[in-house]
Amino acid sequence: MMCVLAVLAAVLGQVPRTQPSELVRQLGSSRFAEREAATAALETMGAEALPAIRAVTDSTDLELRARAESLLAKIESSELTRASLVKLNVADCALDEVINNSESKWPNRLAWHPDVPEPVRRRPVTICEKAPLAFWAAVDRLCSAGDLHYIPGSPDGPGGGLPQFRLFLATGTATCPRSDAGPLRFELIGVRHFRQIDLIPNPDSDGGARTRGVPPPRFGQRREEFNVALRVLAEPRMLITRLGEARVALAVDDRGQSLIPGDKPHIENCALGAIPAQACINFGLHLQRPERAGKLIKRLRLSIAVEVVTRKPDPLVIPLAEARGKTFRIGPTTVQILRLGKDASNHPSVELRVRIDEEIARRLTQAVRLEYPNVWGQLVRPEITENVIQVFDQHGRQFPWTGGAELDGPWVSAKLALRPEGGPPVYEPTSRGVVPPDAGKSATPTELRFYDLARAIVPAPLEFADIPLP
Amino acid sequence: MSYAIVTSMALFALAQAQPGAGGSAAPDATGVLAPNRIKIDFDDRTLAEIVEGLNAQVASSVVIRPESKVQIGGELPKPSPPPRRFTLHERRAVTFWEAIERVCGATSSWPSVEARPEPAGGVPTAPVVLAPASADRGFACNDGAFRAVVTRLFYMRDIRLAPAFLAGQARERASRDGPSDEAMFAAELIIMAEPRLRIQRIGDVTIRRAVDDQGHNLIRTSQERQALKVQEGVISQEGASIWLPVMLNYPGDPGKLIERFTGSVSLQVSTRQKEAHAVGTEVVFDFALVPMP
Repeated sequence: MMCVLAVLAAVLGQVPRTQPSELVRQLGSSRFAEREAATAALETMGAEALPAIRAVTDSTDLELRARAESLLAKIESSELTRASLVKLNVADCALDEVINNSESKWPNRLAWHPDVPEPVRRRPVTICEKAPLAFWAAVDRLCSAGDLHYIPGSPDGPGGGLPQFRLFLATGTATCPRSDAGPLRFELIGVRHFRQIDLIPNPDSDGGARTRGVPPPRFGQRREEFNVALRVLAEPRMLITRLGEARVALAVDDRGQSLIPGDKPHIENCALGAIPAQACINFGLHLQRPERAGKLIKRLRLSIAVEVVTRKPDPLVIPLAEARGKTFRIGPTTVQILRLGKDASNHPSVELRVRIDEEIARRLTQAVRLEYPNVWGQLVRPEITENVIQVFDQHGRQFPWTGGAELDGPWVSAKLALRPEGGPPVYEPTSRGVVPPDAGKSATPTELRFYDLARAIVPAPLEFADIPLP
Repeated sequence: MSYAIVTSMALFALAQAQPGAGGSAAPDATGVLAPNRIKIDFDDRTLAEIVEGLNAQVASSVVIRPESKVQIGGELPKPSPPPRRFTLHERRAVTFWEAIERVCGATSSWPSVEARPEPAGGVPTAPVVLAPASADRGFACNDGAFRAVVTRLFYMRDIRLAPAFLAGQARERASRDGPSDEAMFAAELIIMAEPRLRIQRIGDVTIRRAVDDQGHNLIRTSQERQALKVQEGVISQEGASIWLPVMLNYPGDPGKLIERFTGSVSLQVSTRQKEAHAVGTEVVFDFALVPMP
């Protein structure tokens, strides 16, 4: 089977007239106008300029360093809020080749679900899209051509243990109402109507109220819930860490009745507040069902802000042999290795704690507060996930690990239990492999890698139409 | 608002006529199913004193919540007001549950059964706990040594537009089936036994009548019942009370009330003594004018 046309994917942008390194050099120019022009040009250049900018973030030239750091934050954030653009133009090409083509953007983003048989992977497809597609549209096109659907990676599912989650392709098509916003896809996965009447005088909730002269609880109290279930998926290059408050602009049934509740907030997100970074998050939108409801939610228009993160390249590499009690730093993050030891099962463990620089945390918190006035919890805190912390053994094989994080003042501390047999399933090992279950106690943790994160808030305007109404 | 308790139908005789109904339990040769009888004859007594009087007749089966605040003799810790006093009389002895109901009605209490850990070497207890409640009497009916209560009614309709993330054959099945639209309307009952008894459900719930005030039949078709059998069958607890979800049909344009809701459930009953023999019985429930959710 032969590919007639090359598969490619390209992030579109203007072709720079000047090399990024030259523009970066001009950031330190003695002429203000030249510095400003270089800054603007690098910002326009975007991701392509990042390596050159990163190279000067430790410069002793304060002006140059300040401009570089500012540009870095802007470009990284901007890259996170835009959809990747992918050009798909293949004829009679095996699916496997399409998703693994080294010239495309797919290799580090898409992977086969382990259940997909070989013949399906070799199935030829023809996709002729002359104009580049946004990432999710491209995934849809690929799935449609190959009779596939996608499954996001998760810590305890396929892809757990990978440096970053991937989007897994599996057989069988699946469609549901969807709305894309930049690198995010929102799917409307269901609508639920629940009503209940409580019929006991409810003594347990009384709490001694009667003896304090408070009226007893109401008997026959009715409760009603009308929820739209949504899920948001991020492009596999990033993870979602927070959902903001959703604002419902329009929610109307096919009888023209408003579904927006009048006496309570439009939304009660189940995931409001900081959460462990995930590739996919489910949440509910609470609406009000009219007494004589129509058959359809004719139109649902809302906006929601979503915080996403991605790993920056070049992790902090900590050789563990001499690391006990020492403090390391990468970007705004401080990592302290507390202890290396063994757990009760004689498996190796690493205890550490991590914190974000207070000033940076304060600035990030201010920015977050602007977008999310009602979020709870510690707004900015370091991630303790396999997305940012990796541990390797003496052979360079990665340890799957488990372990929860605990807040300890400004620190987040964790004990990583390195358990090959207890860790999440790893379907696609790193280039040097994953510590196999039978390696057991002979594998020694020798290196810890900690990745700094770039963060951004993606404003997501969404719209759905003609959703069945229960 | 208060709702009438419709009936109290002892099926002791029926259980004897149909030994082992719905299960393998033996007939009630020892009279296990016969309800305790209690005399109610209290003049100007506190609730604590009344409970003491009940317990003298039925072997410490009733407690009051909050227990810490109740002291026999009617003395409550300051600054609580002096306990109210009640006068209750019944001409003839009544069943245990009728007595509880009479006391609760007079004292604005609500009874529930609370399983307690087995004392060392002793018999596990599951006393009836009387807790402060509103004046509403709820929906309850007594059947000999048993009591049925409707705790809530709920209706849920769930339209699923995208299957869960699955792979392989499970995903293909979900894909074939397409979007799902499931509705569930259920009444949740609690069946309670006298504290001396232990009960276990051994059969399906039989609904004899379920009709709303618009005349809609709320009994599911046999096909629907079959589909739900597995779900219903999962609920099988052993103890002094059983939680019983009863699936009903939700009409397109439902009324405001369930005019009548009658049925029965088969139980296996034994005393709390070790190595006690179990007997089978069928407990009937019958409720009227239950509000729809």
